[in-house]
Amino acid sequence: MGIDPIRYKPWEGKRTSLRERIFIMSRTLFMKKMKSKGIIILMVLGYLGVWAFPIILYSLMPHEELDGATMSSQMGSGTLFIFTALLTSLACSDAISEDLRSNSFVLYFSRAMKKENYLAGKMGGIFMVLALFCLLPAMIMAVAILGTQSGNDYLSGIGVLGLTALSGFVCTIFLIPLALMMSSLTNRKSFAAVGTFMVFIILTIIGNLFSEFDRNWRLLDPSSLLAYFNDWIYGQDIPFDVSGGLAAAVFSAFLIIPLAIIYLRLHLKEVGK
Amino acid sequence: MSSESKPTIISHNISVSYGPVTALSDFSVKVPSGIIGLLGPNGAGKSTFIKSVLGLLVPDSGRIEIMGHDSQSESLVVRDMIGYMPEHDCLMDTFTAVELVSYMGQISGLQRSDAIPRCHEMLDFVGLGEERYRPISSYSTGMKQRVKLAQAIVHDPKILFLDEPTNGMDPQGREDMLSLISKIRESDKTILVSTHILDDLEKVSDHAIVIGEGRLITQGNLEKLLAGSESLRVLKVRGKTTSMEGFIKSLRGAFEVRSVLEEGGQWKIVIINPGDSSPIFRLCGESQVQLRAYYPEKLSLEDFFIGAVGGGGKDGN
Repeated sequence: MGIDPIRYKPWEGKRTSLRERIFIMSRTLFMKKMKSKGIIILMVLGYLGVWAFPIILYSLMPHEELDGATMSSQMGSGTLFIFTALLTSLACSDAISEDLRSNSFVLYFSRAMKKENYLAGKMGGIFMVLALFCLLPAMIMAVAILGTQSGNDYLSGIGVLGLTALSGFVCTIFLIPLALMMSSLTNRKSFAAVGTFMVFIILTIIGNLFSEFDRNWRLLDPSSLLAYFNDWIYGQDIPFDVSGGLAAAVFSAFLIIPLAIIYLRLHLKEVGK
Repeated sequence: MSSESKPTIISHNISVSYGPVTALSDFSVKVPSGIIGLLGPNGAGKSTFIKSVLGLLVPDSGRIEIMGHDSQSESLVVRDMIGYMPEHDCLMDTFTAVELVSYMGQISGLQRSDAIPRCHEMLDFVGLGEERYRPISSYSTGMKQRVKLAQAIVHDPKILFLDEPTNGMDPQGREDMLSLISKIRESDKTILVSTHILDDLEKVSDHAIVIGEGRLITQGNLEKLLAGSESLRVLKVRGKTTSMEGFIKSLRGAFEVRSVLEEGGQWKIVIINPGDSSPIFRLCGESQVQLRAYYPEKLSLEDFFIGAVGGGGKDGN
């Protein structure tokens, strides 16, 4: 090794904006995930199991137009949720826990990066990964159905395409905060991955168990909640005995509470606790 | 050195508490440019000061100015000007050194096209060869220290905080690290070095800040601090035992004698003499002892540190 007789050279370039730096965090995380065999295998299996058959079926089957009901049933399907949950658990497992394990928060927070920027960078990277599974194929499916329709009402089809983009976005982002929260609670990525999936399972069991007494309990089941939300996006009816307001509140809680916990964890790490 | 130049960091009476524990109390300091040693026992408040400068901690009172910018309201601007080499392990060990340093460069605001060549430049500078393409998990402590330094300087910060930079390094590695620090200093930076290895600090720093119990104990130019303030002088004399006894007795009558030590027939006597040297020469002549040397006593940094922290409350300003 030894010291190279190279002098220290100052750098005189122009610094990038904070937004670009956050994007770099997201891109780096995305690239890392795209090199993970587990993620690639799961994604390929998911494409085959969730998307390939419906895309081919609905495109070849005679249909007049792209309708919301078709897309709603696809976006709210249980298999899509299971693969999304597995992928989210795996993708988020080391997103924060790795920094916890290696004590590398200090490298971020000693730079021009605040807690919220760090969180945005991590969420952005995971979003890119999950969008490849939830958003992109949904859009491909909608475009394929729209492109092969026999009717001439393309305007309403484009409307459904827009709703599909929204639904795909919601499916992509819905589980990320909860999975990142689990990742921020442990420095073992395996614990984070298993823990995240277990939380989904436990919530599903509780939701289904207590729904015998009150249907609103089903809102605790992330799969059902996402299905109701997709129905609402596509203008479909949601069960009459499920409260819309409560569904919105639970949906918000799924996003806000985990984010608040992550923020608190990051704050403690920032000040070195 | 530049202790007379405009201070880089000015802390105005900052107080920081963690619940009931006061980490910094009414702490005021002016940090000049150059290499500055930040000294203090464990829990003295050094890390709290660094975190306050980075804007990571909100002081209960007071404020910190870094090159004219407020550490709280302009924390992102301030952090762009600072490079930080933490003491503990903090490197993402699944990355290679090239990946980590270029990533940290980009997070600090370098374009990707700049970050890659700059990263290699810095890894060359710190002396990391082909190992840079291996995962950091396979590195020795010394190599990790080099990577930590590289990531701290990749964005060319104006101020550098080095927390125990030679920690865990072998003697050659320590020398290398100190040489690197001296080289970085040539590009007109302020480098704050916090270390427990005072010999290292003595070799590279120009200025010292001593913190104890959350307060500034003393600060100043290292040369002046180590020269001592009590006119300590060292006498080295030789002579017969009977002559020496008489000489030391006369010396004790005329001056305050701090220590007397015989080293292989030569006596080393430390006295306090704020005046000129003529009475010493006269006494040597009268007692028939040979005066071999007479010079001001210079403290080692360790002596100084123990004296400052042990004494407490002494303000060298």
